[in-house]
Amino acid sequence: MSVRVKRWFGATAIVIAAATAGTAGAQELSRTDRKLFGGDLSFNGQFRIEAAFSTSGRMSAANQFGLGSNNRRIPRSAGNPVGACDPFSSNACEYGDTGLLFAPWTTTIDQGVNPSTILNDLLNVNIPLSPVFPPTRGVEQLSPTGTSDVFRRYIPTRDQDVNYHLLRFEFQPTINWPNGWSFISRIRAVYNPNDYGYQSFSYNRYKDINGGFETGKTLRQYDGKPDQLGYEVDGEQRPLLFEYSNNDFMVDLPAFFVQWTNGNLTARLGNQSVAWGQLLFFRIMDTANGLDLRRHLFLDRAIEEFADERMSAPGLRITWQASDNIVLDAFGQQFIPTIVPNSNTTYNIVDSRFILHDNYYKNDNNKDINYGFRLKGEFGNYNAQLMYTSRLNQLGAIRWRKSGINKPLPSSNTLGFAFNQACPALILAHNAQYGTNLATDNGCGPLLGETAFEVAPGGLNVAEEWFDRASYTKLDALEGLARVIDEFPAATTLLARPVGKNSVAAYNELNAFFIASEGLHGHVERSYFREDVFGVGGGFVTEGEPGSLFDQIIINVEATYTPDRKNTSVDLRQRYDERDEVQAGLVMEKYHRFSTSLPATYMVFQYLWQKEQSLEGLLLDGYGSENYSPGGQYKLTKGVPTNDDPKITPGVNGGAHYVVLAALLPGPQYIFEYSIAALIDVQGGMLVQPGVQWKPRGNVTINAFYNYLDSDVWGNNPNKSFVSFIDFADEFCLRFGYQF
Amino acid sequence: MRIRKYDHHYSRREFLGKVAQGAGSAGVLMSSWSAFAQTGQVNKAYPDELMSIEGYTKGKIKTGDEINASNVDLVKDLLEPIRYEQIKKNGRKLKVVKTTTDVMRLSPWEYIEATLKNAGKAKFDGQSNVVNASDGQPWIGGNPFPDAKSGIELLAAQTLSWGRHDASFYAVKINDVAVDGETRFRYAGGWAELNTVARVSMDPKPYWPEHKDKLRFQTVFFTGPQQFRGTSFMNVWDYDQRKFPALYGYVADFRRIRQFPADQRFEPLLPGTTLYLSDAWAAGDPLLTWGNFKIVSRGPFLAGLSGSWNSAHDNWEHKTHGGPKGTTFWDSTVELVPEAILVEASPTGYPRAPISKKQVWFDARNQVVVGMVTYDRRDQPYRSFDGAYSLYDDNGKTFMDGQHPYWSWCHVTCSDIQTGRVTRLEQVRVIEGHASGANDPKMYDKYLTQTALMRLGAG
Repeated sequence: MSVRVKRWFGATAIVIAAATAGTAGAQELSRTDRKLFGGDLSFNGQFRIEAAFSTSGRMSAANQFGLGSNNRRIPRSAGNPVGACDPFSSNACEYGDTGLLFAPWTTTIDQGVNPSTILNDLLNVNIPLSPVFPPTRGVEQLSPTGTSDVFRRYIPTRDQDVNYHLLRFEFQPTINWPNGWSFISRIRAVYNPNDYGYQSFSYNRYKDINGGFETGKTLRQYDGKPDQLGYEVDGEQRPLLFEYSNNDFMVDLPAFFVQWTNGNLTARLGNQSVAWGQLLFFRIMDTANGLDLRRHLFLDRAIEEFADERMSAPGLRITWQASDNIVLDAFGQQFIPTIVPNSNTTYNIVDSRFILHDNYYKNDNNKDINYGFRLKGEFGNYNAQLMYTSRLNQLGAIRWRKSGINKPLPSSNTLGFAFNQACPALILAHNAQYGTNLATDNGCGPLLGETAFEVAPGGLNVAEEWFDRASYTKLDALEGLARVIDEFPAATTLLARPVGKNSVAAYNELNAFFIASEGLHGHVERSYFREDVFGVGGGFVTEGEPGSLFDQIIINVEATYTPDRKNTSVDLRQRYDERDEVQAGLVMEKYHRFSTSLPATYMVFQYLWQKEQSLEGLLLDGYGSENYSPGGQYKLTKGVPTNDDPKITPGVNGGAHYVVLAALLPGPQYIFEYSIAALIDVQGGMLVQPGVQWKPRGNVTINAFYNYLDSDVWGNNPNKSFVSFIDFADEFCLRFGYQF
Repeated sequence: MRIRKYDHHYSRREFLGKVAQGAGSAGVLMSSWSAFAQTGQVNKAYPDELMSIEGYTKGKIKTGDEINASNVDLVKDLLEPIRYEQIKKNGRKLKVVKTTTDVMRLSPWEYIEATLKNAGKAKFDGQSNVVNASDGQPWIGGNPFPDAKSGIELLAAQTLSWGRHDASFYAVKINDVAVDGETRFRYAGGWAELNTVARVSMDPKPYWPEHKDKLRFQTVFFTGPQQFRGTSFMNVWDYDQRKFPALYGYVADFRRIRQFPADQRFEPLLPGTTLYLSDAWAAGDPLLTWGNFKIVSRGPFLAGLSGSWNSAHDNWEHKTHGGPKGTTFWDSTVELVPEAILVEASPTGYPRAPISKKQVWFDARNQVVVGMVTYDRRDQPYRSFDGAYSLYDDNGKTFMDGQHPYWSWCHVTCSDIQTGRVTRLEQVRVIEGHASGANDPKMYDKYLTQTALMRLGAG
């Protein structure tokens, strides 16, 4: 379907739903004889105001205003590439700890040595000596030859009072015809009312530095203020058929389908979601649809699971009640990825110095179909289920990619100047070796465009940041550096070299390029791959002394096996990691009356084990890294060990273990409901959410809950737990809803 | 013309005597069952003062009159205490209609025919389940104990067939009215029930062979407000009344069906209400999960048994009156029931049930439930239920159930005695295309399977 046709179709769908809504809205609420298109029309809806107030004041460590390096004075000295082999002779480019004589980047450039001299000697060129430049933004204590300084990141750390606020309107018009046909829809319109309470970073405020941020000219989320609610992928600004969204609003149709029922068979055609499995929150069998994490991540009221996050997709679902006990459920839907928060929005978890390119559209994945079936049997106190899904994993996998940004190093510092002078010669040699046709008129820009980096303000500026960001993202700082060099020949041409396990050399090398670039942004890409998920589950209900704790416990176990799942490698290499994944979970639910005057308390215990991946879908291999800083002097993330000999990606052995404990205690008549939920990552992370719901009347619901997050509960390295991505988000949440 | 020795006190003495004996058929002058079986009428079983409001009140209240605060003391003994209080203090009113003497108008036709045909064939087996005495198989249809002499017989019959149809679907609206007259909670939805045994209308009968081990399937679902749209619960009842029904629910937030513990039958179905699954038809739980059945009193009663179908409204919706804003009570009609039997039972299978016992009034003529009061754990009156049935045949308009006019309940008033809140339920013609009616063979697929729950939860 062409983009134009798709947009028309989406717009038509919204118009139909809105017209239905308008017709319904014009009717008297209490009447039930509303007719539209010959069917019985009915509707429900709600308005809701939602807000989350930060109690920590912290911002995500993935965001510009939340970085641990902000405002820190951190010394840097450029590493010396001398010792590096002939950059065009791969045989001699191995790093020194293999026994070779030369060990590039193991030392820093001596004071007083003009970097042009080094390049002239190394490359046998004749570039002019670099002049003396005044310090650029953030640079202090600049050495006379510009190869060492103290860098103070010029983007401040900000406290944020409001993590989230949203106005929501939902409307559910439904038409039922007497012949078994129905039309079911749900319109969701949300609006982010300005930036009140937010600390919104804008790259535009720094566009005077080195020409600003090129990527912002092509990808909305990197242009100006954060894109709070939009979803854009490379090549398409609005890739979803049933959604129209922009920075501050979105209108979508989570449900928009016709339903046909004939006896024990039900078919639904249109935009819809499919939810499978007995476990709550832990998505073992819940494989059909991804999650939309743009609004409040997954930090909504826990007892609602993914009510607002579960995505829909256009497709066909057929449910057949094969017998009284057995249900066969099958679906085929357009593939739609999980949507992660945009860069610099409150709950963003992807470091904002890394541009995440989404290949959903470019790879034509929007034309792919996910499909599967589930067979479920209920036999009194026992149940069993089998499922199979062939899907493109909604999480996708990420790797380095070329930035494509032809922008030279800034010639406002000695290193950048020297490199730009030398790059025409390097480019000619590169063209000759690799058969490329890079221009020689823009300094190092053409080569940089062939690497995964882009020169831009607000980038990575000190080597400590590299280590810190890699460990935060559960990646390997050293192997990741190696792959972004050895898998991108232009990086090698620019004298970058893999340095193996030598943190010192990596540190020197990174600082050289950070000084030269005055800030680098990395480019990564997210692609999606098909996988087969096989699942089995079963459950039973215990029988004990009536009213006892052990009576009527509902126990379910589920497990899935996914052979050859493609994962994000811890070094972001081009060839994706591939291995079998196993998930297994247990849920025990119990409703228990502790007194005669209160309704039953709902209690649930859940356990999840995942063999290879953490809850957010990254390999466990990448967990637990420590950071490098000479003498352990500059710790950028609280609690993360930082030293001269850091453990890089020690990983988590034995798989990931997660536990959920939750309880819901309703008051009389459910006017008040008190809840508490805890998600525990046994590696040391915890999310605890106490809450209360008040229903003063049928059409009013007020929710208040608190999210407490801690990634080092046992005093451990926070990088061992997935909670480290969000442990800034201690917040008090309030929702006021009016339903009709 | 009755002979004068049957004065007002005679019937009272008779009722007290039967209660004291702990046994006895319904009827004062003769067994009402025998009278009905012989003549199709029960008039011969009761003296005149029990057959008309005029007779009972010696003409002080007449058919067509309204019972209100000014005259309710005349009929105080015919009302549950809470109804009396509501009339006396809260502006509740009841319109009196003529006592229905044609018993065929007091239940579905086929149910009554089966009751007559199968009379005397039922017994309790060794597990205290009702069975067909001749072969020990599940009951074969109609009321197994039409001449009930004990509390368990009355509740057993009620549990076996709630709506007295083989299958029923009720489109239901629920309003919860606070003491200040504000309607705080409004809900809409549907209730489906289908018997798998003791079937008298739908083929196969008397049993659906594949489900002979079960008693019924039952689903309740909600269409509004939005927070509860699609929320549904399905019970699968075992025929063995010692077992709890399997309970499944579709949770709208989760978008999928989950199993619920079967013993959670005293949880409010919805916020703002105190309606439990256990309350359904005054026999919402398996019979043998209750105990201590006993008849505690007999006597005349005022109940809604006719004239309550509001055919004038195209969706059968009823008008209200009373309370601070005129919204607290249904406009109701009542008639004098010559004999109601009050049965008491305790929730012995539910250690922490919020109620200690229930008292259920049965119309002695046909064992239809006409009222219920539940008591809290302190033995204080907690909630009171009164409702109205009707043959859906009114002012020339008739809603048919096969060959005969539809018979069903019309509205129910659930009063929380301790808080003063009133929950009003009414059966309406249709909600979102879900139409009330009986014995529709499509009902099973439409409402009573897991697929149906998923469908109802669409959106």
